[in-house]
Amino acid sequence: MQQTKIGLGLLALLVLGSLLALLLTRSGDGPLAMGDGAGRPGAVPVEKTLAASCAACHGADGRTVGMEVPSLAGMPEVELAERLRALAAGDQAGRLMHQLVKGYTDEELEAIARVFAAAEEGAEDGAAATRSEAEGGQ
Amino acid sequence: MTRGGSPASRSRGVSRGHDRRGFLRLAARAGAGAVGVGLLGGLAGCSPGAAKARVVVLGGGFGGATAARYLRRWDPGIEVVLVERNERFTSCPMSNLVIGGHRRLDQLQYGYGGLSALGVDVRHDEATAVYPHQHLVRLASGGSLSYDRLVVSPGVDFVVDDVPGCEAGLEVGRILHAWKAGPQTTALRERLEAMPDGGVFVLSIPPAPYRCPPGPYERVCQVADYFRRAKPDSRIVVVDANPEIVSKGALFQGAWETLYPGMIDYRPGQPVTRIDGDAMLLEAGGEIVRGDVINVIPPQRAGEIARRAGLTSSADGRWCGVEWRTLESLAVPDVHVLGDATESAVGMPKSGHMANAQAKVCAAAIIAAVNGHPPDPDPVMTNTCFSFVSAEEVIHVSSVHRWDASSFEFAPVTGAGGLSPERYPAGAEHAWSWARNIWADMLG
Repeated sequence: MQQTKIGLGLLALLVLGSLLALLLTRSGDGPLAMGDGAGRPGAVPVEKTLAASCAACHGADGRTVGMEVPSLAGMPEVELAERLRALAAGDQAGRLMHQLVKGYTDEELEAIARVFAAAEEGAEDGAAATRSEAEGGQ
Repeated sequence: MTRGGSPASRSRGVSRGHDRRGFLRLAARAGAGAVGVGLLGGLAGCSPGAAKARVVVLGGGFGGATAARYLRRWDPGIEVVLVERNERFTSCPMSNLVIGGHRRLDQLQYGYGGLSALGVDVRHDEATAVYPHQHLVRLASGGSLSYDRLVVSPGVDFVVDDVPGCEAGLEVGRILHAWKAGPQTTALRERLEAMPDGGVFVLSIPPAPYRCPPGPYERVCQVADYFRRAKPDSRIVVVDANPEIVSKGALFQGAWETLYPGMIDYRPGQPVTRIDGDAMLLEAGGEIVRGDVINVIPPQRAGEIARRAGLTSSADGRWCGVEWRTLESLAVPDVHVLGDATESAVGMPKSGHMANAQAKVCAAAIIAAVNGHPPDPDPVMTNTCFSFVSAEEVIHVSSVHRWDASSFEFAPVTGAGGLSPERYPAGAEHAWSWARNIWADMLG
């Protein structure tokens, strides 16, 4: 009796798992189904991928290794969000940044500010590698 | 992706690897789903802590290196193998400054140690074939790699048989392309140095799309800057297959007229039709153009491995179509294509920055799939591109790209991005900051 219950439980778990798997994952060889991956464990949080789109210029995690582009890591969230929104609204002049922020919604800019506010200041872990071999880097 | 077999437990041999994968696929199709496959993985001896999936990345440039790095940063549970033929990365962006004499090539070169330190398995090897049904890559060294997901970021190859004389001229080195940063870049610089004052530099620009749309015009500026300083009686002839300057047109035109008056003979809409390396001449627009130094940038297509893998799905057979929100190939499942090799979306340049942005979207999509989640339906990509019009002054163009549900395209966001209003003197420092940061972003 006990064994049957466990068996039924396991079977239910398997069926549930299969249903979940069918819902959440791609099946067969078709293109990936689109959906909202935000907040799910195992998926990259959307605010992190948004912030990553800034990293090419501002450094991974907002820690810059180029002097002319400001570091964003550790900037107070409210201040950064305000500056980004002001740039997007045209209230603050910029050389380049005002062009890029216009491609994001206010909510996205706030999410980006949240990520960089939470990032620690300081040099990026692998910053030494950004010195070319000729300059005595790695 | 729910195939949960650990690469550690999976046979690396061709036949057994295939059998096991086939088994998992059958199990998945039978509706066993995540739990079922998880159990199978357990039965197969999946040890705790073993990688949940293996991603093989072909090409360690702006696209591939960034993908490898972000896959590991965002999900250390994924095993990442990067296959790159060169021991060192050489940056194409900034390499026009080598031609202008402001930098040496070794100042644009970096090792892959940062990626190795992050746990990326870097193999200096070359992929010679992809077997999509077996999920297998064959390597030039003789080995092979199985993958759950494959990322192909091969850059461009040159189409040298479109124009008579092109292949022969390039082969014997009478003409140079210098469009992949490396020995050709240094060679072009040396020839300009050896050229007597009063000589002619000829540049041929291929029809778009090609790698780095503003690059040829920046090169004209750099050669002109060198001539102005060292060989003021020399001239530059530009034969352009395109009807007008492809990128930053008014800004380049303005720089040419102001900084290098009378030096540049720009001929738009004149595709090169014949090249004679022995006679040091080419034919364009029905006219013979002679040069002391001839630089032909050949027409381009996706790197050879993309064609061999069956990824080149565009109408002309040269580029790889992708679903832009995941960078997954339209032709081959479980394979993603990045960078210059892709069939560009509307308004999307073939640039290193763009490849870097694509790689992050791709990495997030692969991580979502590996963990059984759908990808982000609305990813954002940006592009920023600086061009040096002299040693110090730069111009820029920027754009933001997103999925547009109404046109069903991944398109530039209206109202965002744009050009620099003019060239700016302090821009060199900005451009170098950009370069240092993006190199660090991709290589660690």
